Amino acid sequence: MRRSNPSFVLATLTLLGSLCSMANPAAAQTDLQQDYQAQLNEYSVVRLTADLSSLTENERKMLPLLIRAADLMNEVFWQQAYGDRTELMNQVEEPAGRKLLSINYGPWGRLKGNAPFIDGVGPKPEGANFYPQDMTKEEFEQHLKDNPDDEDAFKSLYTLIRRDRNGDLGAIWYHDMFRQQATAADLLDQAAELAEDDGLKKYLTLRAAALRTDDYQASDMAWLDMKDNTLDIVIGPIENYEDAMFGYKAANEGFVLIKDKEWSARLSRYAQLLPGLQRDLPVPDAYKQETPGTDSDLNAYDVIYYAGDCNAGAKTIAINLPNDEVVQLAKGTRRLQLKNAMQAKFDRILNPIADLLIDESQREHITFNAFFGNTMFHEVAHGLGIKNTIDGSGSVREVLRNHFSALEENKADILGLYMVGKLYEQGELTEGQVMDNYVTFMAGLFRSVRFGASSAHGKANMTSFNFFRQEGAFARDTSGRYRVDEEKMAAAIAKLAERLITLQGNGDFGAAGEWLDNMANVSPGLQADLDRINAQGIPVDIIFEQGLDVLGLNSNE
Amino acid sequence: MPIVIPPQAGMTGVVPLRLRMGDSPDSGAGITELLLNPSKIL
Ligand SMILES: [Zn+2]
Repeated sequence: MRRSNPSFVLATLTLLGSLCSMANPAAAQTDLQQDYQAQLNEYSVVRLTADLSSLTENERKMLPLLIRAADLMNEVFWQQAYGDRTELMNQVEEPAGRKLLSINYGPWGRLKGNAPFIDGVGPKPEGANFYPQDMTKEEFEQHLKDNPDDEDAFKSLYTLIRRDRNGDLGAIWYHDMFRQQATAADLLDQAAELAEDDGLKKYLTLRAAALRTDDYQASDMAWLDMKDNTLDIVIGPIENYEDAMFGYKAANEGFVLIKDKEWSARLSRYAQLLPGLQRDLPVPDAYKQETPGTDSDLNAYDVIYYAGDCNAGAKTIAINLPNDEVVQLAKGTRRLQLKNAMQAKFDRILNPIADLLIDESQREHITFNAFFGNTMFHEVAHGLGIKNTIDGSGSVREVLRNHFSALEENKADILGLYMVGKLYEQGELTEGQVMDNYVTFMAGLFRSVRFGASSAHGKANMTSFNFFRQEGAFARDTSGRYRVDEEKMAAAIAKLAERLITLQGNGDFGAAGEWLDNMANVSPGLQADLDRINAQGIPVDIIFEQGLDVLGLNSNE
Repeated sequence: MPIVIPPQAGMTGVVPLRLRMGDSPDSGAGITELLLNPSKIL
């Protein structure tokens, strides 16, 4: 618009000037709301339901108790991750902003590398709210040098570190700090009274005791002894990712689960095949001398409630628990495939990504069974390979230090695919075809790298992507669609498996670092494809509508 | 108005107890190391 009348221009400018000075807060408000809304749009809302028809009357009565117990973990996790939830919520009026606070359990965007999304909030403390916010790593370590008797309590998974009146550091047990653990324990005891399965009854009783004392070992053992239960609950302080300062502190969470017995039956035999698969690994004998355990079990569940740590930011679709090494050595671990959450991510995220990026002729290879299988065999593959270096210098984990997790996650992905190939060859897998797993894995790389390229899983994804490209395992056409070459992919998987197991077995810290420096990068081409996914508005993750109402179980029942 | 998170948000006024040696249920050395391995998939 051109205006030649100077007085009009002047009038307009004056008007604009006065509008601007008055409208600034409103404009800022709009920006803020748009920003909140943009971050909310990264999540797709999923109703968390499951088939309850197989539940007994007592099991239906147990569900509200278990859900209430799990729900209490929300309050505990808020304290661990941030602090006073109510005070923070009171400072934000916009519904979208409040929703975002709930999803993130605090003012930092978990899908945004923890960038603050509330005006005036600083960066997230490395140690979240597990430690005093003015405490440095050095102060913590100096305290332990001066007070060696405090080591166990200070490094415990189940204590907070706080200052006393004199400003000295002290530790306080979760069960002393968080009354919610005792309330949850009472609810678990009530549920135990209704439990018809002896294993579940015992577990619930021991878990209740554990929440009152923060000694979880007996309950973890009992959890692994349960075999025939339909209902399950994972509850308490469990994972330590939230403590990015030391990784000493566990964060509280709760999952309420219903076992899918039909799918679980299909999975039960894979663990038995592990020794044979270990012998078939594409590495020299020196790297496959260890014998994998076969006592770990693998089950499919529908989740009906997520609370606390597992409900924050990106949601968990598979877990391998317990984390207590003593229990792992005694009884192995349980691998839980969370089927309905997986299905939701497949439908809402993976499928749209495949529509955008997978060549039309291979689109049919994107299947839920392959997505489920890749996730499952990833978990199983953690049990294969090599745990101690071949020169006897120690465990691979100790020797490779900060490079270990990225290599181990990559190994799990790649050996998982390798196993799938073997199982098709052996006729153990008959539904679908190995290309389903390859193409679905390819599309899955784009899905999971969006959670952060610098995490262990992110580095693993980048390594696979770059290695496959080098080996010609996929081609990208000029329209930006990917096509997998079946033979070259199979060869690349075997070659990468060999490379990763060798790096682990050799335990060469420098070589591992160099490998990751070269391989675990987001290339400009890949970044452009990730930008296309974002531009399409494909969600990054899911949030839940969940609880008794969603399940059709109200309190009158 | 900027929001400032108070130091020790939600924990003001708490005087910590000092734990005794041996109270910890997880005094085994390898446990935190083990936990550095991601045990979940997103
Ligand atoms: Zn893994």
